[in-house]
Amino acid sequence: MRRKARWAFAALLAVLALSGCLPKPTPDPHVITVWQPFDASFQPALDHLVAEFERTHPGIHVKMSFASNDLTSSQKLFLAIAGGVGPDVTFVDGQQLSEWAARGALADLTGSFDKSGLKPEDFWTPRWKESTFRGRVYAIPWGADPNFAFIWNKDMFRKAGLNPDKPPRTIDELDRDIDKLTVVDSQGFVKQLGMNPWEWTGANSLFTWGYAFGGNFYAEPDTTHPLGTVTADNPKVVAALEWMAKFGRKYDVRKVNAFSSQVVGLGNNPFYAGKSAIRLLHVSQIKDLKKYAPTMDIGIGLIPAPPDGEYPTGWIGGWSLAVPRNREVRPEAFEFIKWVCSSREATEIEATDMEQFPAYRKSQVFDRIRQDPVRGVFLKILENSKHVRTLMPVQGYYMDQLGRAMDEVLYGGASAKEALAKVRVAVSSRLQSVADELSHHAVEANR
Amino acid sequence: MKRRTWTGLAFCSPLILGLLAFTVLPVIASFWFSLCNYPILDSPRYVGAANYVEMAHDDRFWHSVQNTFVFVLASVPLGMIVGLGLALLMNQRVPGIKVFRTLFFLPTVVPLVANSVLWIRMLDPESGLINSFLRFLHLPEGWMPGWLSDEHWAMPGLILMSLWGAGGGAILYLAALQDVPSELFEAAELDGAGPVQRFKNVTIPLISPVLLFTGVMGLIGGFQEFGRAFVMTSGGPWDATLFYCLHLFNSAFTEFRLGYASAMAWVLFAVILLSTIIVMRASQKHVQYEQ
Repeated sequence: MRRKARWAFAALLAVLALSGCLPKPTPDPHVITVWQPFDASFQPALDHLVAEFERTHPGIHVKMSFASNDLTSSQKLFLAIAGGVGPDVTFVDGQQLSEWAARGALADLTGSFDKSGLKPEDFWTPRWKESTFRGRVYAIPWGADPNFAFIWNKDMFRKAGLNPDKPPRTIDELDRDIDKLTVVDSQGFVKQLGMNPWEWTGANSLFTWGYAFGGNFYAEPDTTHPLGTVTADNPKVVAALEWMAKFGRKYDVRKVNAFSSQVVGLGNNPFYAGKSAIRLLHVSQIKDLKKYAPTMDIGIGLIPAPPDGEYPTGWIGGWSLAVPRNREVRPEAFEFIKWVCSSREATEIEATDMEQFPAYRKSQVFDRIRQDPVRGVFLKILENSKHVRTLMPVQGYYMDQLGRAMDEVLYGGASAKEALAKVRVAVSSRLQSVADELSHHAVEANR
Repeated sequence: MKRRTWTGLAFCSPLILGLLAFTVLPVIASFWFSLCNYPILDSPRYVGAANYVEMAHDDRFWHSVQNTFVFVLASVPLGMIVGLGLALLMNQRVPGIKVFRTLFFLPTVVPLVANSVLWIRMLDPESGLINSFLRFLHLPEGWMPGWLSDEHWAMPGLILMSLWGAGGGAILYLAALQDVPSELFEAAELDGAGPVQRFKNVTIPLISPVLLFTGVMGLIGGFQEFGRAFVMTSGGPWDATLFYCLHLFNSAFTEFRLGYASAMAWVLFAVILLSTIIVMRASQKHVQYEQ
């Protein structure tokens, strides 16, 4: 008996040990796996999307599961790719694309795209740019977020003696209105705030105001700079950060942050509480207006800009769909991507259930959006904007460095010009090492 | 070896194999990675000690080291003092003591993220419970800490929050306190020792092994502090809460530098090992084990 048990044990161990060496099971041809990054509030809409796809594509099943992606990292996906596994389709944020493509995380979709009947001009231009890297297609854009609309509380404007129907158009006017709308007590504590220029945390605020001031964060690739050039200390970006710093010195950055420390986007945002008069609204927050401030008299318009700046201004963000590199691009998977990003049914679900704007500019939903007094403003921003955050394969690091430069200037009183010059030097050096890696691979591949 | 030993090993083998495959091998591999340029999605390329050299010149590395030492040096002793204080209170024979013991232990089992969200609200400078309490004490407004929005107060805020978990240590101290033979207290009392002397000369020496244990575990945990800052502050404001492990994580997963992150992990290992040895050596004369 004992001997038998020992043999059984040995056999079990052998199976355990060998299971790692077995060939990978071939995927079920009728099932596509998709990883999505959204929070639970999106689940009903995603379920609807999958159900609609399965209804219109009999015989294909979609298995969608969650993989966190905080816009700088997607730990689960990277490890899956490094381990040679992963989904058939994954969501990727537009700003991540260059970096992920350069690192070899994504499959080249150019062939499938060319055969699909879709064209680059079917999508909003900034979003399309965020889907290609060095002339190859690595993703199909799904959403288009026009960042941001400028909203103001008309009652607070009235109480401050301002014309509620005449929002600021220039930065000087904005400064003047903020002064009138801000109330500071005898201890220097902010009791009511005109606007917090860095409410969108870290680099997102700097992108917004930097572009409004007419600046740019990178220059497109050319022959000498195949991955583009970092221009963080462009004089107009410096001017934007200096303007933020001036505001920070006037009202004390710590007190402004203490005042608006409540989590951005939730119902306790000071804007909804009638304590902050102006904010920059993201398209996904339109529904919050109805929910948290149903009776508030709100104006909506465009972000002010200096006379030599950019008006209307804005930069476009959004999610795309891609295929991890170690997966072959299965026809069913590409069909899913194409359907989600461009079909009538899917863009309808995107606009209605998720309250997002499709990246597919030919979608019928825009006829309706154009008529809407709030969404129509976002559409105007979308139609006019040329920008994205940046298109560089060091995006995560760049964002991090910009956020740090803002802290150095706002908290540490450093000069904006010097802080941003430091960012340029640090990010350029990282970019160079990515370029070196890429050419190293090109040499290896040619051998 | 005896047959019995083989059988025993066979029974332990799932655990042994698991440990080898999922702990020992990755640890060894990480040392190799620390000598490589390893962008996660690409194969590692040997670069010698470059990662270690770079660390010495990385301002943010040193900043994260400093933050982490401040956190460890403040939170570990404070946690022990508060835990011991709680244990002494929970050691009293009063009605409903079991309820109190449960209540004080409860924060230890709250998941980190839930705890963090709770503390973001508690530390809110405007409407948070802590500043509301300070206002209730009629402290001047100018003294109100800005907590997570002020670079000088963010670290004290996280240290304060870490004390929320002192109930975990308190349960261990309580068990140790209940192990102290009452005749020793009686003897001390007969010899004329007051409560302070009894605590200093009887209680502390007898629970010293548990104090050492919680101190060392606190040290190890403190150096690996990550979750709170990851969830609550992302290391800010102005890197005030950039802990070593947060910097390590960012290097690996937002900057695609697994080699550098692995090198940081090995330095952390060395620091923890060294600190533990120092604490063990230094405490040798003060810790009394029962014969």
